[in-house]
Amino acid sequence: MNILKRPSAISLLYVIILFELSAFVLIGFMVQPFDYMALVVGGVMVFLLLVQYIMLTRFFPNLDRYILITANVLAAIGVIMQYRVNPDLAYKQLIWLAVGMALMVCVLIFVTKFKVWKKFLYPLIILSAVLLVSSLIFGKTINGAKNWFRIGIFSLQPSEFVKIIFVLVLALLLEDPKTQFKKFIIMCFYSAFCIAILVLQKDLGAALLYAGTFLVMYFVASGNVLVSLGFVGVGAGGAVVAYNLFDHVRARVEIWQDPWAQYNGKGYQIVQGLIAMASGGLFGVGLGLGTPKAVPVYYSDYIFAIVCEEFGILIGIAIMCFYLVFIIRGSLIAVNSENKFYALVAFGCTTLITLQSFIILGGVIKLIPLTGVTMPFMSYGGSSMMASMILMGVLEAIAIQNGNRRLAKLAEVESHVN
Amino acid sequence: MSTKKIKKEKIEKTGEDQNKRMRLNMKIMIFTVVAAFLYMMGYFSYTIMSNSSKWLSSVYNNKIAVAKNSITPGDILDRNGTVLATTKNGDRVYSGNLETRLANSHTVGDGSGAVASGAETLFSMELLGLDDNNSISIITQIRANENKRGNDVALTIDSKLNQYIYDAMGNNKGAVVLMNYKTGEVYSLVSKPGFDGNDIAQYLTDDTDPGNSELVNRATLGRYPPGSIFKIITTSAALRYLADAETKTFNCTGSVIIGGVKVSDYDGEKHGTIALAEALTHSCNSFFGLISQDIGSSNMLATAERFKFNTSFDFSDFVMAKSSYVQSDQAGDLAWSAIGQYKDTVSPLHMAMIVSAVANDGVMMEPKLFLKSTDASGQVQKSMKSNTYATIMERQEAFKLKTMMYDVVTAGTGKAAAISGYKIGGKTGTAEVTSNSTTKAHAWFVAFIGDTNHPLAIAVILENAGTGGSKSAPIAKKAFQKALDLGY
Amino acid sequence: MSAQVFEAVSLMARYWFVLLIAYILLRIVQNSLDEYKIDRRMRLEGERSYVAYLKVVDADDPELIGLVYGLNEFNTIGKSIECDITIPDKSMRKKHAKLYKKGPDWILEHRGSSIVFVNGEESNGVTLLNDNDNVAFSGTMAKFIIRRQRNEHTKKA
Repeated sequence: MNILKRPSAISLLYVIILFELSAFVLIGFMVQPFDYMALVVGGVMVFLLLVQYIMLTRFFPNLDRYILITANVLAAIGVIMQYRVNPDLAYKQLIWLAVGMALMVCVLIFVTKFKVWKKFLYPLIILSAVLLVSSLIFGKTINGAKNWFRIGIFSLQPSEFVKIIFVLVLALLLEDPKTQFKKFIIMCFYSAFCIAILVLQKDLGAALLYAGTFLVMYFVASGNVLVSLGFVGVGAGGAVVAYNLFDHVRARVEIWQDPWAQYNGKGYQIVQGLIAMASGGLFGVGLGLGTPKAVPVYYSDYIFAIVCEEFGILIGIAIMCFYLVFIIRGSLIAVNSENKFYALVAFGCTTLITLQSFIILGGVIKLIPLTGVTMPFMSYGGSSMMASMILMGVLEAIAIQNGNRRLAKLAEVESHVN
Repeated sequence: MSTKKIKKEKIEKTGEDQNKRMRLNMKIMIFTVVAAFLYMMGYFSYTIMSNSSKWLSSVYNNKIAVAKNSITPGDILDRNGTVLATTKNGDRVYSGNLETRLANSHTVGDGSGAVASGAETLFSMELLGLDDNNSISIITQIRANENKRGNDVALTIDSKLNQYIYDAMGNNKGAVVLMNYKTGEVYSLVSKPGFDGNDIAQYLTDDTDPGNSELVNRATLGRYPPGSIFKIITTSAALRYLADAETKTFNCTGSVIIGGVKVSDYDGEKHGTIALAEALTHSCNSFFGLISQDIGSSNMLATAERFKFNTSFDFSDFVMAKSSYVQSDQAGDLAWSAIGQYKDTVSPLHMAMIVSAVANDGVMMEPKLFLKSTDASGQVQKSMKSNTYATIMERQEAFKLKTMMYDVVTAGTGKAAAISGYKIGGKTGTAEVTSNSTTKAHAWFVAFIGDTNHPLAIAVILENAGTGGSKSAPIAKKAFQKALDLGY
Repeated sequence: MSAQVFEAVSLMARYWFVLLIAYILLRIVQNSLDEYKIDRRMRLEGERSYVAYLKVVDADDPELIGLVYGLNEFNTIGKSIECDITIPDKSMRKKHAKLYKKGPDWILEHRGSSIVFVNGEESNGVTLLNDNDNVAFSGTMAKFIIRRQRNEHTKKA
């Protein structure tokens, strides 16, 4: 067996650490004479990165290291920008990062051990439905979408957490080639239900996310092109209906087509984002030299715009590439999985990240209408970070399983020789 | 092997096949996603790189807002030197007279950014003494100009004319644009109701209806159904695409059914058997509805687009709404679109440009608001340069149209605009707004003076005021008269 | 640091950041590709069975000791990933030797510039290999094992 040593990622980590520290040092100089907290934050970032990497690769050698590293790089860029604009944001984000990492590890261990998913199909369906409905009934409206819970000083977005349950349910319903029809019906109703609740809550971004994930998972699992196209048709029809029915949908499409015409109103955010990105040019205006606060919601949904303003378009494209790396590697984990269930779960998780990043990036650059989803790993926000970390945890768990299985197979062959 | 084993193997085999298919599907999805992301990256680079210069010098750039903290903006003056806006003790103040302020509000704009157009925002760079064509970065220029005064900007408008016209509009809402069709200079641009620049806060409360507020520049951003003034475009289409356009006749009996839809004339007026020129003079809907069928919907669309409908305007001096003409293959819709209803929309400034082009032998000039800028010592920094925007029709066609439009004023629906001693060409329009008979139509009138010494063109719209001939044509006459008196 | 100096430094730092990120991205992609190739091979390997094996018994890199490589009818052996048998040991050459089956015989062939010992004796370029022979590629030692017959396996299992 050509068991080769995997190329070392250590030198890569050094460069990442260099990047993070140099950014924080520069930010430190923004305040006279020097802001030592910036270095502290930088140090914490580096520490979290190393701890995560070393601990995980030690205990789980089959881990997908590059997903981990990519997520860390994205999170680092996020924290750098957040600190640069408002240190308080960064402090909170660090907490979310740490909690998220811990959560990821827990999820990782859980998924590698837990085997009886099938039994929990109905409980999961009920749980996700309850969570979504409760946020509809009890939720507070923030930024036009009624899907936040306030618990003490923290705000949570249940739809973010329900995402993973959604994927699990779908995977369970799609994996079995037998008893197709009953499961198909359940699946359609369940998905329609979730999407409907989200549309009612005016969380169009999440609705789009769930719908897209459903479509992709169905196509991948069944290979049924006709029905998939049928679903696309239904989706398109739904979009048209929504456009005609809901003012806020029409408004979004209008400001997508011509945000300048409504500069004073709803188009303001898009215009400011575009100007910020254009100001940057290829290399950016320089860290600390831009005007990030001019862009509404610069810390979460629009963080990409201010990163491009100060770091430049080249790095903006690099960020898109980082997401792409994550997506491709996640998809490969799915492709290499042993049984259909894990393959679907992995692919579903990857699709969630794919769609989310595509939707927000596309919206910010005015490729598609803007919807309120966050940048995975980069955006400020506990729910966003934790949900992304959970997804990564699930992906890693499946990757580890794949690796273990491969080693087992190899060990079996080795036994022939010894 | 027992049958059980065979079955199990079979199921496992199909399981394997299923998995293989699933993997293939996944690979298809991966490929699609990669393609989508690559496209996104390409779109991103392209759109930013190609638009950056336009966006950066755009009015919405916050660097400008920041600069206002350290540089004193210059004054805004009308073309005769009357001060319309100045800075006193760090505050921006507008003319002392309320009427003057209201009348000039939409050309002067607002320094705090409450309106998207107007000199305050569109010429903010110049007012601050910043030059975006300079190789020195804006940031450095701002530093260099700190605590200094920017440039004074003189506009092409005449504030007295603005005030006169604002007054003449009475209690009607609407807009008037009066421009020089040879140079493109806008001598008057009025949007009523105007706003008081010295007290903008009153317009910014949450419950103001954004569509109706004083802050909307109806002249540039208003999208109104043109009604009969659109017949200018239809006439141009007929002249271009029909060999017998000028001789073909139709019999007008007050109304006609086209494609199952009734097209009727105002008050059911019967015009009898008439040809194109007469139809325009008396604004016969039946005629134009019928001739549009001969022209055809794609030719109509082509003509409208030649007149710059469906085009995004990208002028440095004005933020203009896009005018729209939607093609329809339904005979009824086509007929109505030819008489300026159906889904047609146009802005008053665009109409002024159109009628200017007709008067100017088919050459449409870019509308100008900026006349010149002078620095603190009185030296001229920048001057207006006339710019041809487009040639929308040939000379002969323009000549024919002009002749027909003279008849409108001498013998047709536009008699109220006649001024003795001058050849005035015009077109009235009564644009239906809804099928509800209690809501009055918009009253349009567009006109030009056929005299190269007084190359004036005008577009007037009074919202929900009634017929163009009776309501807007008199305003146009007054406006022209005043302009002539003032020496234009 | 005054505002002017900060501005100057930040402007220069822009290129620095772009450089670092570009490097990070490229390395991640590069490493991912390498890993992908390896994983792919590993996956394919796990699903096959070989006619013979090479088991590493000693190497400069201790992690390689004990590794078993499956042999095809024709194999290139070396440090480079282009080889069929990639043994990433320090003393191995990029393309060290060729090992192939000719009829019933296994032949080990190498260029004069590569150092190869079989059972302690230096090979001159071409050597016949027998079951359980010890082959040394410079400082890397491996045992050549021909796959046993089926029934011998099941006994162990």
